Amino acid sequence: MLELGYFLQQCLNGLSLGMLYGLIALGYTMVYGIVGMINFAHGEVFMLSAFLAFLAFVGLQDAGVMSLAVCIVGMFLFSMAITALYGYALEAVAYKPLRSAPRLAPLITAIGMSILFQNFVQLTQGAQVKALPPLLTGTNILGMFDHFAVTVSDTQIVLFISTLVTAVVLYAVIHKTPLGRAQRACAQDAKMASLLGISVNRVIAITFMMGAVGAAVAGVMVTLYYGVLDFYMGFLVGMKAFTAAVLGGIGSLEGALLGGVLLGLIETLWSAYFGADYKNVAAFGVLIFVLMVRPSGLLGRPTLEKV
Amino acid sequence: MTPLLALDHVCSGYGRIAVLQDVSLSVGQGQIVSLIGANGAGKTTLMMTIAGMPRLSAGRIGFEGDDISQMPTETLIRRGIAYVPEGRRIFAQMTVLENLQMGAYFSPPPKYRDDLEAMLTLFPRLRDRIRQRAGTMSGGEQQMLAIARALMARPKLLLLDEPSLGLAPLVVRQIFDSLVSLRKTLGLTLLVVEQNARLALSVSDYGYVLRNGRITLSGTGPELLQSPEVQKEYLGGGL
Repeated sequence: MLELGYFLQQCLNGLSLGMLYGLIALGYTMVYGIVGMINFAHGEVFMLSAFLAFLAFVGLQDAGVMSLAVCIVGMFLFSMAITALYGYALEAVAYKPLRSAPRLAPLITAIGMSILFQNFVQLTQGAQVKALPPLLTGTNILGMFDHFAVTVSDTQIVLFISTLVTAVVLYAVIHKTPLGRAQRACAQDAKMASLLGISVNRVIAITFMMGAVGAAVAGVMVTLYYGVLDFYMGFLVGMKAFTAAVLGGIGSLEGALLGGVLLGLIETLWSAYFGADYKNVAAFGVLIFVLMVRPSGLLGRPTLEKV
Repeated sequence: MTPLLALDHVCSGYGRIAVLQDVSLSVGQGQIVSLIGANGAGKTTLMMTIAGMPRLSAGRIGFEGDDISQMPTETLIRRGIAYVPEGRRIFAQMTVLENLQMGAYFSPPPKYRDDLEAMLTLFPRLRDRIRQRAGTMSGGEQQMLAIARALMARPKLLLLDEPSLGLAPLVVRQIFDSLVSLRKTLGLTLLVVEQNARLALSVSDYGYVLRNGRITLSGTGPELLQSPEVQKEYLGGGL
């Protein structure tokens, strides 16, 4: 059990899980960066996106689309677009009316929206688990280590590529475009941004939509990777992704991905060597340890400069 | 001729705390008008009320003849009012260039390039520091950046809140000199709030004295400089 091949295989699997966490963590970290609070309904946005991907798949099958590539692209596009609208609606209902309210109020509405989304999906899609046959079944052997074949599945390859593309696009938007400049300006001083003519409400709404798109990529990938959905799946995954964002340093995009990958690796390696029973204890234990040593997370900015 | 900016019997404040009471003033096209007063007189509240944060509770604010008192802040900023707030409020984590780009958020690219060049010529220090994070600059440089950022929007009216705050006298002089030259070159109109009354009035066409939220005195720059009340209260005369 201590062979190199087994270890490498578990690392690859952990990386896959970690990228899913990282994709969802991007939404937490972006929203935190701009409005300074945790969107606790974000896990449910991820859950919705997985169901939307499932519905898109069923719809495309019914329409007689045979090509697997078209199906997968269709799932991505449909889920990303509708999930972005959910992100917009969530912000408009739960956050916008409470912009100047005390901090606690939008936290409560976020939890309310979270319960609403869960019940909405339970009512419309049913409470039983939905399962999808594996769509991408191919596996590729990367190498042999003492008769242990280390493999990467086609699904994992799609996951790696889609995660990297999403991260690079989000990074480029935030650091290289006028919209991203406005987002960073609002994050630093929203009042000043509005004194420059920026519509802060619009920028915040777009940020929620961008975060939702990140969650949607994760939602589609979970549908392809595990193929098992239920209306309650957003809760634990959402908590884990939130943990990943805090671990990496909330407010930092790179931190969200790094935190996600670390969390995925810890969980998977722990399960591989010590059994799955205490994997969450291990994951949250590492979070507690990191926060004790570095309260602002791995890549978080510890101090603000004087203004 | 209607003035560029006109406040008619404006009352404003925060929640139930009234700050401004029945304030009327006007700023003509191309004028430099200064507003002087002690700490807590309501100068910043007056400036922020013009920008719509907070909203006035009574009265009217006219800009180019239109009532702007109910317009959202971003709309009236886009109509040509730029604001350099007290304490500068530059985006410290962003570069100097990014700060200037934020000022020109609604400019088409060719206009933006010309304006950027003009600002870097006016404030050469900013050119040297264009890729630097704004928060790492000195106070005077940050003030120049705050003014340049506001001017990038090509405003018709520039509201300037305490530009001399915390700066060395020489830097303050430089900043005021550049403001006076801007009025000549760009035809800019300025409303300046200033603690340094002597400096502000010496470059102003007209001035108002604000005291406990009311205008108590107004006149041309030289008139106010001569007035016994201004000399006693704000110029340190009689000491």
